[in-house]
Amino acid sequence: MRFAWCACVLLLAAQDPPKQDPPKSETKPETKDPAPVFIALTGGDIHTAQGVLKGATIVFKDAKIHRIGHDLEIPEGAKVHDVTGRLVLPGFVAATARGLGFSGAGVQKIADSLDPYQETLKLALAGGVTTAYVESGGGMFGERTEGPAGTSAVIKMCYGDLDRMLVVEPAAVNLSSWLRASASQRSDMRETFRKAREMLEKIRDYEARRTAGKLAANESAPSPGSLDSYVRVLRGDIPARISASSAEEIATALALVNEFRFRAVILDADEAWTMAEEIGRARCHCVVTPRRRRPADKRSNRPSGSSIEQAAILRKAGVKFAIVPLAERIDTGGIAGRDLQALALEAAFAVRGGLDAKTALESITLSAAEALGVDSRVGSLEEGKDADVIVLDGDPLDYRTYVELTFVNGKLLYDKSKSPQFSHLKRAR
Amino acid sequence: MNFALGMLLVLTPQAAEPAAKPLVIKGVRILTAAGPEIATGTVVIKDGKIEAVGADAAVPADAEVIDGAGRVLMPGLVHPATRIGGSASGSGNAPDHLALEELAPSLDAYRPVVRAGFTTLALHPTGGPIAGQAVAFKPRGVARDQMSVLSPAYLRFEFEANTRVKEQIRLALEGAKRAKDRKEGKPDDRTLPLVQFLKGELRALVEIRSPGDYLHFRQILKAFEDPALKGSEAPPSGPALKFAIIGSADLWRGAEALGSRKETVLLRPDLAFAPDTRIRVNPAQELSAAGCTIGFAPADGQVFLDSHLFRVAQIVKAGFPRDLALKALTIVPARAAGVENRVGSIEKGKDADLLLLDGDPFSGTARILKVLIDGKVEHEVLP
Repeated sequence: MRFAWCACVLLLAAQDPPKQDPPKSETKPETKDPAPVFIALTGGDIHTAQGVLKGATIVFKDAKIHRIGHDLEIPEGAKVHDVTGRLVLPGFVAATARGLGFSGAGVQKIADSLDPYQETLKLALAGGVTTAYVESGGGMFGERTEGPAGTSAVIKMCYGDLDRMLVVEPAAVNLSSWLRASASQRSDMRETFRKAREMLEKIRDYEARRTAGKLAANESAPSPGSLDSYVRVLRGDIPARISASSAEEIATALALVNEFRFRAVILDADEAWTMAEEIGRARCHCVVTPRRRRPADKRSNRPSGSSIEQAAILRKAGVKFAIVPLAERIDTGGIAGRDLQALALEAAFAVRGGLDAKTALESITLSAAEALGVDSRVGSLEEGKDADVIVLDGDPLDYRTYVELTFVNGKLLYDKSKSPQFSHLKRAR
Repeated sequence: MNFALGMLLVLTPQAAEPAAKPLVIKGVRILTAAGPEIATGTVVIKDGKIEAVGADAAVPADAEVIDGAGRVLMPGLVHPATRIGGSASGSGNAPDHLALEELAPSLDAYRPVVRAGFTTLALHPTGGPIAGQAVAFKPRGVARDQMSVLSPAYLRFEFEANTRVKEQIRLALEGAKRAKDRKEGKPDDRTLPLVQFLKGELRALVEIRSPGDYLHFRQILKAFEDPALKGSEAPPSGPALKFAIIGSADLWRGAEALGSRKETVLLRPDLAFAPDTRIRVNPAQELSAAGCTIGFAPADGQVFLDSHLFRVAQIVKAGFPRDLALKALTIVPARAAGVENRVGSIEKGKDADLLLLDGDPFSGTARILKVLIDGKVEHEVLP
């Protein structure tokens, strides 16, 4: 055996080495910044934050909006889309969404679990939605996670692009369960906020002394630990989100907001219209759904229940609000027109209740972005903002209107004329 | 004995008969998987190796001759990721776990594998994000030291996009990077394979569930790619991380991303459906057209092994080029398993692992008449 083995080795050694393919480079060397990619949409009616520019041009440079205006010089090599007669709007922002961008239970960090190839993203894009707020958790029926244990994020619907999908995480602290907790638990929450406030003062004091160069030797920064998310809320980095449907719940939430002075978003705010002034004074954002129905409280002698005029009343009181549809997800089964693909339709219902069209549009774009704290990047068409842009074949609040093109981060990700789901559907006359 | 010889170990017991006569297959159509096919040619086999191949290779006087008229000769099939022959409980969950330890050769398990045309298999460890190291071997012999073994074939990652798995892999690679950059001292056993991976010395096979997982895996690797490659105008001289991706047919949806990095992707030879439809999609073709190198890896069930050629014929029927299909059955999985210098093509100097068929392998009806491993007929059907 040993001899045989040696013979074999000798034989092998005597042979020509077998030919090998040259090693293939499996990593690309990063080169210097590649030439910028320009895209121009020409001839459309462009809805900017300042007003509508008719027959104007918008130019993207890579992922950002480069220029907006009339008679713009289109950069050489730009890909030009002629959208004459079409409307150009910022992509819609879903202030609450479920089942978008990731799936599965037990998600610790949304950033680690994002699925940029989720097919649902394409349906969101077809509905004009380019940005959404999502939370971890949620059971089979996608019920909302409540309490600060879960994590939340604002994500972009940038199909196929993992690196740009996450805008911010955590994006909020959800205090909804606190509102429905027992009195003693509520007092625990107040205590938590008090501690967080003390911690924030300590951090500010530390930072002030560090700036002034007056730190003691070996002094380290105070660590917020489990109070971290509350400190972020008190510092104004992220908002708190509180689901409060009834006037009583809203009043409880406002008391906390007024005591600790933080930015809050009131979700499911059905009876907000009955106390619009108070909400306005506390500078809270609301998230409302014009088609939601809450029966009036027959035993009460004050206004109660939902109202179709809710959005218009909030507007009059100067309360900022975002509109979300009845089903805060993409839903291809059941009744059409209730899910995120019909976000604009939900805003149209607010108009039916007396709201002006401009505010209705803002409630699914800029106001929604403000409620999420991402309005510096998305929600309106302005130079320097993300090139999240949709092209529509008609008035966005008209039920017949279709999204024709959707760009996210300057990339065309939805084209109705090439969509297997929508290309055959023609706009009704 | 084999362990004492280190990582790369070669045992070819049939070479114990140095007086064996050369074997010649002549007048046969040869699909080499290394260049154009030879319409009518001769292959000379000596001591388990291919000694000559060509349209007019000289036939040694003392050779035993097989007339290949009307037959087709191709390289033996390579199965790059199997559990056949391994113990039922794959217990790997560490970079230094060796699937070699699990190798439990038995003729009963291998006979049907050989009959189906497979001449090299890579047994992969399972369990955990970094499962361990696979072993490539040939399905013959009844004891471990009678087999031709190459270990480690590759390091296997079982990847899915979640915080636990990403953190585990990131931390392990960070530890390996520190060990790699340290001047003195040796990395411990657990870290060494990852150090070798970072140096480009050990390849990896990364199993993913969805195309999104691929982007997450790339995101982790970004921090560990050789900084010398970054922003430099000089040609990349540093070692590149070597790995192939293995996953479901669904990976075609990530064709643009996978193709832009020219990844090697191992797939089951199946058609897929476009999302929410019954519209047929050919994943191999989509990924290949985008720039990927495709290899086929069958499921382990006997029905999948027996029908492997037939299934690939269906992929060819649906538009995947024949020459790429031949490579996807042989040299590509051989490279993924790190044994491309030994097997996977019909070239001078390579092991004589050959299939003699009675027709074109992509006709769907071709029958395997003979299976040769290391120049010995391990299976044949009577004509």
